[in-house]
Amino acid sequence: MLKRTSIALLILLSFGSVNSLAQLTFTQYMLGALRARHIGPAVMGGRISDVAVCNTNPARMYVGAAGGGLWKSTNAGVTFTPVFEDHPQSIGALAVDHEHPDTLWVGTGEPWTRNSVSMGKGLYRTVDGGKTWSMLGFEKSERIARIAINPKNPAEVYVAVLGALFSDSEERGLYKTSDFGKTWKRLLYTNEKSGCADVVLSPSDPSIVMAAMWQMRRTAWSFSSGGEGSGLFKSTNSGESFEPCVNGLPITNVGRIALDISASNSNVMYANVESEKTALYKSDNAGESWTSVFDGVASSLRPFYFSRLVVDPQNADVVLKTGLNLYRSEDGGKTFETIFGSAHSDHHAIWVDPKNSAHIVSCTDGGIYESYDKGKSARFLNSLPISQFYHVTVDMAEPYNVYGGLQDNGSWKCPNTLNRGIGNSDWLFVGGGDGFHVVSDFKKPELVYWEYQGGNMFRTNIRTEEAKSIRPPDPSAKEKLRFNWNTPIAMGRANPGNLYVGSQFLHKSTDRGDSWKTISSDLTTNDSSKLKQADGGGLTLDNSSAENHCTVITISESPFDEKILFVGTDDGNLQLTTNGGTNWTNVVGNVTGLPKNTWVSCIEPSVHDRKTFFVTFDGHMHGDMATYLYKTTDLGKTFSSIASTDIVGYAHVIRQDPKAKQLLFLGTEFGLYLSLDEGASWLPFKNEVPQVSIRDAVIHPRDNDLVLATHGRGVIVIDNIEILRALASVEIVNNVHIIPTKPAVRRIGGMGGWFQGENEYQGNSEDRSPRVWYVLKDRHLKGSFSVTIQDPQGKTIRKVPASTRKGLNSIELPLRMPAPLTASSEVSMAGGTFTGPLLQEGVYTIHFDKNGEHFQSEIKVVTDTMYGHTVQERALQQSLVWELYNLNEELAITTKRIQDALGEVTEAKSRQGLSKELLTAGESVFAVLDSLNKALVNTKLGFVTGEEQLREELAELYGSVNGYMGKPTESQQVRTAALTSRVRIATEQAEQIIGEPLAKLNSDLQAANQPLLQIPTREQTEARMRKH
Amino acid sequence: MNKLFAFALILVVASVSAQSITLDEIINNNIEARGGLGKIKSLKSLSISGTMSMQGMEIPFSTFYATRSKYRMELTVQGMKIVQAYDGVTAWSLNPMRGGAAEKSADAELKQMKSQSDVIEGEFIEIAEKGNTLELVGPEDVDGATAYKIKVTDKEMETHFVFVDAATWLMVRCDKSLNLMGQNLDVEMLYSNFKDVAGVQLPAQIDIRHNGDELMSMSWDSINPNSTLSEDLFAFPKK
Repeated sequence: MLKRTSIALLILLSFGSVNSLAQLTFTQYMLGALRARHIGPAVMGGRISDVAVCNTNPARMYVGAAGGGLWKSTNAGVTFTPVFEDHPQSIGALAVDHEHPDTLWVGTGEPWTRNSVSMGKGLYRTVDGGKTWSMLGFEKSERIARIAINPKNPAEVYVAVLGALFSDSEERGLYKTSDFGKTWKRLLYTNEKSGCADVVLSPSDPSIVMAAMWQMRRTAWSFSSGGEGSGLFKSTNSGESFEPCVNGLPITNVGRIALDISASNSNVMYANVESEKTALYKSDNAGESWTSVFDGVASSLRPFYFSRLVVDPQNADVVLKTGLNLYRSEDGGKTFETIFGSAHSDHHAIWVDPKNSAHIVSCTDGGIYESYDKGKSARFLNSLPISQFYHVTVDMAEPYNVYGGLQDNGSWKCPNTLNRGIGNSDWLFVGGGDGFHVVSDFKKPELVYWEYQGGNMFRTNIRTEEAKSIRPPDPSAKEKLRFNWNTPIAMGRANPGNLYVGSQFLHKSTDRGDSWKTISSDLTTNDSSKLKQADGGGLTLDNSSAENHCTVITISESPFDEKILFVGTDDGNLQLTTNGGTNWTNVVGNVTGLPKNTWVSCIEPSVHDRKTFFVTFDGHMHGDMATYLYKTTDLGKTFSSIASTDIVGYAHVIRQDPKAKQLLFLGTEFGLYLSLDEGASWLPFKNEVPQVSIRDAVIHPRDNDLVLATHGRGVIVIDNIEILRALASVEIVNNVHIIPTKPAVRRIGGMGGWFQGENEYQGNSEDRSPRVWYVLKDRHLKGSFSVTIQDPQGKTIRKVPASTRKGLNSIELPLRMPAPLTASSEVSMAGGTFTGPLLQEGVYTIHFDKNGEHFQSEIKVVTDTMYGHTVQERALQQSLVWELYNLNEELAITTKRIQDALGEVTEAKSRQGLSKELLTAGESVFAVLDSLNKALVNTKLGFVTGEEQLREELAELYGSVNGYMGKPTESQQVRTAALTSRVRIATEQAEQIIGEPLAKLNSDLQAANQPLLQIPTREQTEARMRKH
Repeated sequence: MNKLFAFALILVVASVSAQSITLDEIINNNIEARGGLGKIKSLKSLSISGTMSMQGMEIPFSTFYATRSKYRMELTVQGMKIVQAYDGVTAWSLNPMRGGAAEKSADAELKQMKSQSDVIEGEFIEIAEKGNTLELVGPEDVDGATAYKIKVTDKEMETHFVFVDAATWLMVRCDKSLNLMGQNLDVEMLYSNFKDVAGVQLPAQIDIRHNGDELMSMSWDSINPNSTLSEDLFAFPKK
């Protein structure tokens, strides 16, 4: 980044004269103050690839999510912290050095090779528990399946590199380092289609290495497991050489193999081998020969997805196997029982406590579970927000709700913000299965359209929970509709009464799905060679609809005209109609530089121009990881690429801001990008948005938030993108560039949550405090920089600390006046007077003074209409609160005068050589002052004294009136009158004592040639108090 | 010379040195940028009064530092004074709401006070003597400009990170974990508004952020270097 900046400046310099008014170019680091917030959920987990629990301290655990990063817990899963935020979020394999639990090896890229799988970028290691990371190579490996550390020599590590899923690659196989990852040697490689899927070292003799090679390939329309590159291998010399294990094992046409070696008897090994007759095999002679012991569902179901075996460290006959459920055998694998019955299905990784075999951790498609009774009961760790959304939509409720569907975790709805924060229970379950598009009806928001895989579509009334199946019917018994795994459902943009769904055709409903009209012919290539999902899977038949191909995958109605429709297909057709579907044109041929049949991932019609739209294409299922991003301004006749080398990852979604046409957002497999110049240049948005797969995005039309569907970190919201609009349309030439600020809305904060501990995830709510935004051309480091606020009458009310980042800054405008002066007590605080009254409505001026330069802006303060208080009621509250404010200040000054006088008299009493009469007079004045002080403020030391003097009563009343924006109660008014009279009396008493007995004491002191008591006037006292 | 030209030169120089700079060079540059070892060593004490701002509330504070590691902070809220202090050995606090008697601090707080007390010299002076180990992590962006991230491991094996700006060589940020009421909170402390105090550059504003959000800001109203500070300010009060 630094280099690029320098080059840019050198280019500027080469023009000879440098324009000192040069515009500021934004970089990713200059969006500082604009940060995203995560709202979860963690009510359902997301898929987890691997877990590493420290054997020497099981409270220390690392969880690697399939798409949601790496999480660390040091308290047995009560809380988790993400520790891999600057790196790809798809985790493949973890290995902790049990003797040094801060040392963790992380292989990125998930090895559970389903259709929607994300990818990684190599191997990393930390030695400080995730504070810092070293990248150790395998950048192009895409996915790493297993890591094994030699327990006797932690410098020696084996890495099973599974490699590319969608293409041939030579960066795969089994690798070893003997110097902590500085250098690597490839030990096993069979062919460019086969990777290493598992590696295990013998616990008693780590020179014995077992490794499994696996030939596999996925395309958008097929998956194949098995081939000549697969097989089980054994080394007895730390990987110097390997021999294939053939004795008793299938040797031709083998698929994925899972492995483990018993720690209690290292002669006992287990291997689950996918073949034409998939089975669990056992060896009692350290892998020399093998016997098939079990071929039931625990062994044979979906080996590509479930392939972990763990032998109980204490008992060689106890073996656990991942699968649709988690399975456990106590008889050496002859029979299996299902455990973790209450857990989500689809188990991927297991840990068994070596000191307590009943303590088991299992990781699933739906998060992580822990059991202390061998899996009979389980607890869900509900603090991991790693849910995998495919899509997201919003409604127009206040606050608006987000809707979305997740991998294997259904369809959900949740308010985007709540005063108390967003808890797991705020997420409302809409429907089951794998969830994708979830859309609320624009007129009847209680009706929600949702689906599960393969186009099974419903309309649910979320009040009654009644669901109606509304899937378009097959045209005939012979002609079936072909729905993608992730079938597009879209609502019209010109006419939101239109509901669309895509199979190989486009279907339209104008009666909420009760009936459908097919408004296209087959829009796909209908390539019969790609319609063989019923035969998919390779060795093990796998037809889940995940490989359904030649289908419509994205649908958009033009915001200008309901007759203009755009459809993209997964086999690369970009179709449009301008007459509501009567005629369709495939315009993909007009897109230059795009490989044929590249998946159309998103079409975004512009709201600024009828003929402009944006398209993203995704070639990753052809092994093409390039970013394809195009724009047309002539309705598809010509396209220009607006991708740049600043972007990393294949593209999932593009959105153009509906208000500032220059502002674009792009979601790729590796994060969020934005453009402030309509695609001429791009910068990654990193502030709390990790390198997670961004699958969908929506801009809220009323609240101006960008809402992201991430495939691993739940829903992420960037509030207030008006700030980005301001950056997109203005040249920044001043040292301080102030962004016009939306009105500050007066609100009273709500109550927070309760004391539920920390074990439940809490999503972040919107920061609704009013903020003033500005851009600094340079970071302010030296000298002074202050911000002062003037009220509508021009009176300075406050100074606030300036934020000093280069680029975008914001400061909170406090919506309340400074707190009133409050009477001093040495022993307690009066909470009621911590804050001042709410600002009056009107226009406030903000002055920025930076090293002699002055800039200013304005902000309007208004009241939220939702409270419903009338102007008169609000005026009554303001009047009373200011009356009480002034009363607090009067008491504060009075008390200060008494306390000052007490100090002076105390000092005088302690003087040497005072006459008895003077001493007595001093004592008497002291007694009167002290008793008055004690009646005004608390003086008893301690926490629960129950003491409540005038200050405490007054502060409490002020606080209660100040905490409500409407009409005060009658009793508040009556109490104000009563307390006013008590404050007046106290003031009179104080002034009387200072005026007479104290003056008398002073004249006696003067007569005795003693220094006088220094009692400032009331005005002097007040001035001093206000100065501080 | 045009300001931007000078800035460009600094950047170009910084980008060249980004490839090759050593930890020692960064440390020396920082010490020079602060005013030099001589000036830093002559600064024996600091008395600061300022304002702590958070969530629209302003709380006046006073802090006192004396070399090597003596520290006292006073917060005054509505006349009630809360004190935290460390005399190089004992950390203690005084809070009238906890009965008004001074209390010695437990271990976790003691560690925290220790790390907060070495403000005048900081991590880069007499490193070995203080038991610190430093490691250069590398260049990283801090708020729009390049800084060098340095990992500091102290005598207690606690780690924190400091960031030295590649253009001015001033320390612009410190990342550490704070223990607040028994909860750990990872914070970023940002230093700005550097001012010359008896020949030493000191930050007149410290912003404390958590996950990028501003939690609190502390700024000076006045600073008084090298005044004589009584040992009683720092020592645990005698009964």
